[in-house]
Amino acid sequence: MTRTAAKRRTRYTVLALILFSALTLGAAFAVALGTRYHTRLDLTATREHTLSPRTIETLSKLDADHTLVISARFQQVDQRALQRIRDLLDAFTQASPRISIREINLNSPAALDQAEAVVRISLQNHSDAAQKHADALTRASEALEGIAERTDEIAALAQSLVQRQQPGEFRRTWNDNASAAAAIPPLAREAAETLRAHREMPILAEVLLPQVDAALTAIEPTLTTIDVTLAGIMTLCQQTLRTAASEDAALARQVLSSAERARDDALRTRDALGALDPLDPLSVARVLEAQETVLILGPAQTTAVDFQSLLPRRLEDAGGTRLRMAGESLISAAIAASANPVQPVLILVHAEPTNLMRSSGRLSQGAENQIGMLVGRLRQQRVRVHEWPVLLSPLPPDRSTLQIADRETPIVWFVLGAPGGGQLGERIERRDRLSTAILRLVEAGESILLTVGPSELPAIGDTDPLVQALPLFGITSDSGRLLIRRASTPQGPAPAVDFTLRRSTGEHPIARALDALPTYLSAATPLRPDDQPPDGARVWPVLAIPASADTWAMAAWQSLLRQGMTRLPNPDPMRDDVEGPWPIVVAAERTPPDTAQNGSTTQRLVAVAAAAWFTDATTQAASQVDGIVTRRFPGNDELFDASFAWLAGLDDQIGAGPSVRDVPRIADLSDAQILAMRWALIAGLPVLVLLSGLAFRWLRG
Amino acid sequence: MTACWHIALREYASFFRTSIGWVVIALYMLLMGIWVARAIIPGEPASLRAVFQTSQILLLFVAPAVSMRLLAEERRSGTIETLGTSPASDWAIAFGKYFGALFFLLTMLAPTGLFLILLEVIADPDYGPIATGYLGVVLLGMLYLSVGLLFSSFTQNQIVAFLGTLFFFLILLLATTIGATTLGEPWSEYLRILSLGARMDDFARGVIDTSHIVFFIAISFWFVSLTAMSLEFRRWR
Amino acid sequence: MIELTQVHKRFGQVHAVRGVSFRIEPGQIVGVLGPNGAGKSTTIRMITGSMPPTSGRVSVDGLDAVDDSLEVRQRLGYLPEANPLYPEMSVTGYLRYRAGLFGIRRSHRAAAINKVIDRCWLSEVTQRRLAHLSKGFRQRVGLAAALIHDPPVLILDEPTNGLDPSQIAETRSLIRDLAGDRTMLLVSHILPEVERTCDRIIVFAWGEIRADGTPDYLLSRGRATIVLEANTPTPEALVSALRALPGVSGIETASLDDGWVRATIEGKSRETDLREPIARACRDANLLVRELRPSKESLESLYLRLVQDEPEPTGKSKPGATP
Repeated sequence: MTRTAAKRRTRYTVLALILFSALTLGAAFAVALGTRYHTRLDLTATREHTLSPRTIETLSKLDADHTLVISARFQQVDQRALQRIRDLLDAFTQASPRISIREINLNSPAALDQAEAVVRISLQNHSDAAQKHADALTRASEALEGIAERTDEIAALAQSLVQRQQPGEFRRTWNDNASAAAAIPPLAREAAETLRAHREMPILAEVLLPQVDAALTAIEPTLTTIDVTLAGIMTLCQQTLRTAASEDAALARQVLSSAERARDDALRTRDALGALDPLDPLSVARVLEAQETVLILGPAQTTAVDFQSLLPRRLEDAGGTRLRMAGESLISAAIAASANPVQPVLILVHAEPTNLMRSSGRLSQGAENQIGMLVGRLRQQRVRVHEWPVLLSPLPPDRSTLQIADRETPIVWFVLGAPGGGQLGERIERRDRLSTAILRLVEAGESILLTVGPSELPAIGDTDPLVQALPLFGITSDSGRLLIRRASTPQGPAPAVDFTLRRSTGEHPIARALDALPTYLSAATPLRPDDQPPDGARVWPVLAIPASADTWAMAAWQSLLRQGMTRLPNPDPMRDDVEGPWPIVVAAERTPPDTAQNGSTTQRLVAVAAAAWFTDATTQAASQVDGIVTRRFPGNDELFDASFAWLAGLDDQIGAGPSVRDVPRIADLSDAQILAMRWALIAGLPVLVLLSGLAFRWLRG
Repeated sequence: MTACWHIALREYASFFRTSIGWVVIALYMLLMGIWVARAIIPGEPASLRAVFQTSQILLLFVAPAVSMRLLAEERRSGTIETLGTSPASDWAIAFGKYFGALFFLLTMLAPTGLFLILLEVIADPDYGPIATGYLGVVLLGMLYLSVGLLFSSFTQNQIVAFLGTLFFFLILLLATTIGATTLGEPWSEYLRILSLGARMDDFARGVIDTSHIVFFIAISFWFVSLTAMSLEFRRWR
Repeated sequence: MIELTQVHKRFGQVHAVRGVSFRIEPGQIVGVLGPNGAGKSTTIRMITGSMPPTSGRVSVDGLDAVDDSLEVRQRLGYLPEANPLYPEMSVTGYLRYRAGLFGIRRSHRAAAINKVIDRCWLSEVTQRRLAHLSKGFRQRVGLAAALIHDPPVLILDEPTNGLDPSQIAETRSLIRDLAGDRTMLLVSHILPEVERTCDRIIVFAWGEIRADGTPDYLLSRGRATIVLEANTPTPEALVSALRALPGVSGIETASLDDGWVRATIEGKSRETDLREPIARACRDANLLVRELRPSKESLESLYLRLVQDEPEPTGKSKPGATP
C-alpha cells in the first residue's frame, strides 16, 4: 500500500512536470509561430500605416541590408510629427526584414556615440573605397615629396645659372625665380605631411577616415604656388633658350624639363585627388554633423533625405486644412535610388562664357552660388555632373570623354536658359550656339530637360530659335508672351511675374510627385500642346497657371520691364493671350529619329518655361517658424528630381506623390464648453458610477 | 464545463454586489477621463492614440485591483474549501474565476462609450484606430488579469496579491525599456518580444497585428493554466 | 460506502493519521469523535479529496478518493466546520450557485432548491443576504447547500458549533430527519451530541482510532464497577478487606456527608459478578450496607480514558483501545 501511494505521488509529479513543459513549450511555440506568420491590418481611414504598393514592390526587390538613420533634435520636433515619422519608419521595417532603423537623438548625450556607430556601418560597407582614398593620399604625398626634390634640383640649377650672369635685369629675374623655386620644397614637404596626416583624420570625435577633400583644400594654396612659380620659371626658361648663350641655354633646358615634370606632377596630383568619388562614410559623418537628416545606408551608397521635408506641412486650401505627408515617397524613392546600381549622369548645357566647373570637378565660384546646392544634392544621389559650355566647344562631350563605359548609364542633358546681359552681338551668339546645341541633342535622341525663358524676338517678328525643336515633340512655345498677374500692393495693384503653384495637372508621374507641393516659377511663358502632334509624340502638361481674370500672357512685356513694373497695364485681347489655363511645365515623349545613337526607343523631354526655377535662391528660400526652418518651395526641388528621374528612365525613383488627407479634427469649442467637458469627464462620470452602485446595492436590499 | 460557467457568473455578479466593482469602474473612468480630457484641444486631430498608449499604465493599477480577490478572498474566508470539495475541477475553478474577472473588465470598459459619444459630437473621429485601441486594451487586460489570478492564488492577503502583480509588471516595463537600451543586442531583441508597450503602440495607432493577438492570448492562457496547476499542487501537499 | 484501509498521513515529521481503517455502510449515522488535533479533520479531508493519503486507500462508493476525486465529490455533501459562505449572496442565490456547481440541470434546479429550503426550514429567509442571517440560519443554509444535490454521503463537521441550546435541539432533529438511507458522518468533539445522534461512534486520538462501535457496544467495553455504600468508621479496614477479595482490581472510597462511605470497586473481569462476595465481606465485617449496585462506566469517562494516552513509538497503543 505504501508503495502504491508513493508511486502515485511520483506519477503525479511526473505528469505535472510534463504538463508544465507542454504548456510552456506550447505557449512559446504559439508565440513564435504567431510572430513568424503574421499579418498586419491597417484600420485607419487614411491607411497611414500601410505603404503604397509601389513602395512595397521596391522593398521586395531589395537584396541587401539597408539601415535607415534618423538624426534630429527630437525634443524640438513636434511630438505628433515625430510620432508620424516613427510610424513611417516602423512601417518600413515591418515591410522588409532587410531594413533596420537607428535613431540619433541630437538632444541626448549619447548622440555622438550613435552617430559614430552609424559612420562605422558605412565604413564597413565601403572599406575598399576608404582604402582607395587612403592610398590616393599616400601616392599624392609621395608625388609632393618628389616635387620637393625636383624643385630642390631646380633651385640649385637656377642658382648656378644665376652665378654665371652679370648683374642686371636678367640676373635679377633669374635670382627671383631661383628663390621662388627654393621656397617650394619646404611647402611641398609640408603639404606631403598634411596629406599623410589626412589619411586618418578624426571626424565626429573618434572615427578615423581619410579626408581627401579636406586635404585638397589644405594643400590648394601650395599647389597653386607650385603651379604659378613653375609656370613662371618655365616661361623664363623658354625666353632664355631663345636668347642666352649655349651653356646657359643648356642649364635652362634642364630647368625647363624638370619644371615641366614637377608642374605636371602637381597638376596631376590635384586632378587625381579631385576626381575621387566622395567617400561615403565621410559624407555620412559630415551630414550628421551638420544637420538633421534621414539617411538611407545601402550596401553601395548612402542617400539622404532632408529631414524637414518629412515633417507634415499644413497646406491652406479652399476646403479647409490639410496635412500632407511626404515621408513615404521620399524615403522609398531614396531606397530605390540606393538599391539601383545605375549611376546616371547630368550634363549642364549652358551658354556661359567660361566653364562652370573647374578641372577638379568643382564648380566655379559663380556657379557655386547659383546651383551649388542643386549639384550637391545630385552628388549626394550619386549623380555625376559634367558640363557642355556651348560657347567654348561646339560639339558635345562624348561618352568616352565622360568615362562612361556602358551604354546603360542614362545621361540627362539639362539646358540652362540663355543668360541675358552684355552686348547685343554676344546675346545673339549665345542664343544661336545654344539653339544649335539643342537641335543637335534632339536629333541625337538624348533626354533633355529644357529651360525656356521669355524671348523678345517674337515681338519684333522673329521666331525664338531656342524653342524651334519643341514642335518635334508636339509642343508649341509662346515664349514671346510673358505671364503677368495682378498683385495687390500697399501702393495699389501692380504687375507681378512670379507664380506659386500648388496643384499639378494630369496623371503624369512628375505631376503626381508635384501635387500639393508649392512650386515657385518666375518669368514664365506658356507652352501649348499641339492639337495635332507628330506621329509617335505625346505631350503631358504637368504644371499650369490656372485661368483667371487677373492673369494673362502679355506680348509687350519688354516695355513693362523697361518702365520698372510699377504700373499695372490692361490686357490687350488683340495681342495678349488672355485665355488660360497656361501650361508652363510639360513632359513629352517621341520616337527618336534613326540618327539617334543611344539605342533607345523613346526620347523624353521635359520643358520648363520659367526662367528662374532651379537656382538656389529660388528653391532654397526658407523661413523660420518657431525656430524650425521650413522650406517655402519644396516643389522646385521635386520638379527637378522627378524630371531628372523620369528623363533618366528611373521611373520608380519618382516619388509616388504625397497623399493629401483630411484628418478629423476637434471642432472649435468655447472655453466654457471645454471646462464643462473636463469637469464631466473627470469628476462627473466617476461620481455617476458610484451613485449607480449605491442605488444598485440599496435596491437589492 | 458548467461548473466553470457558474463560477464565472458568480464572480462577475459579486463584483457588483460588493463595493469593489463600482469603485474600480469609477477609478477607471476617472483615470481615462483625465487622459481623454487632455486630448480634447480644439483644432487638434481627434485621436485617442495617447489615451490607448497610456492604458498600459492605467490598467497596471486597475487590473490587479480586480484580480487580487479572485482566489485570495476565497482562501481567507474559507470558501475555497466548499469550492474545492465540489465537483468543480481545479481547471474549472481557475478558468471560471478568470472569465468572471474578464467579463467584469469588459463591463468596466463599457461606460467609456460615453467618451466616444462625446468625441463623435465634437469631432468626427476615425473609428478604426479607436476600435483597435479598445482591442489592445482588452488583450492587455487579459494578460494582466491572468497574472493577477496567479498571484491571487499564492496568498490569502489581497494586498499582497495586488502588489505582487503590480511589481511584476513594473519590473517587466523597466526591463523592456531601460534594460533593453542598457544591454543592447542581442538581449534587446528578446526583450522586444516581451515589450507590452511596443505591442500596445501598434493597437493604439490603428494597426492589428495578428502576432500580438496570438501573444496575449497564448501567454494569458499559460498563466491561467499555471494557476490551475498551482491549485492542483495544493491538493497534493 | 466509505472505506478507509490502513490510511496514513504525514506532514513532514508529523504523523497526523496513523493506520486508520474503518468501513461505513449506507444508512449509518456515524459520529467521529476526538479531541482537537486528533486527526479527524485530516481524515475527513482525505475523504473529500482535499489531500491524498501518504499511504493507504480511501474509497467512497467503490471509487478511489484520489484517482476518481471528481466523481467522489459529486457524491458527497460536505458542511465544513467554519461553514464559509459568500456574504453578499442571497440564500436562494447561493443555493442556485451550488446547484449549478453540482451540475443540476436548470429544469430540476428550482425543485431541488425548494426541497432543501423546506427541509432545512429556510422559507422565511430565502431572499435575505447571507451576511444578515443569524448563526443558526447560516448553519441551515450550509446544510441545505450540502444537500442540494441529494448526495448519498453527507459529512457534517461540528454542525452544532456555536449554536444556542434551542438551535442545537433543532439542528439535531434535522440531522436525524435527514439520515434516511444516506450515509452520514458527523464530526464533533462534543460527546453528548454524538451519543444522542449517532448509531456508531469512532473515537480518534493521536491520529489513531481508539474505539469503534455502537454506543452500547462501547459502554459494554467500559469498566464494570460495583458501588457500595456502607457504614464504617474505618474505611481503611473496609478497603483492605475488600481488596483481599479475589477478582477485585481496584477500590476507590469517598466519604459522604452523612458519615457513610461510598466505595467504587472495579473487578478484574467483566463476567464475574462481585456483588455476592462483597456482600459477604460486609456481613463478615459487620457493616451496614445500604447500597450495592453494579455501575457502568459513562461514555464520557470511557472517552476521556481512551484519548489521554499517547501512542507507543512502535505504533502500538496502550490497553483500552479497540483490539
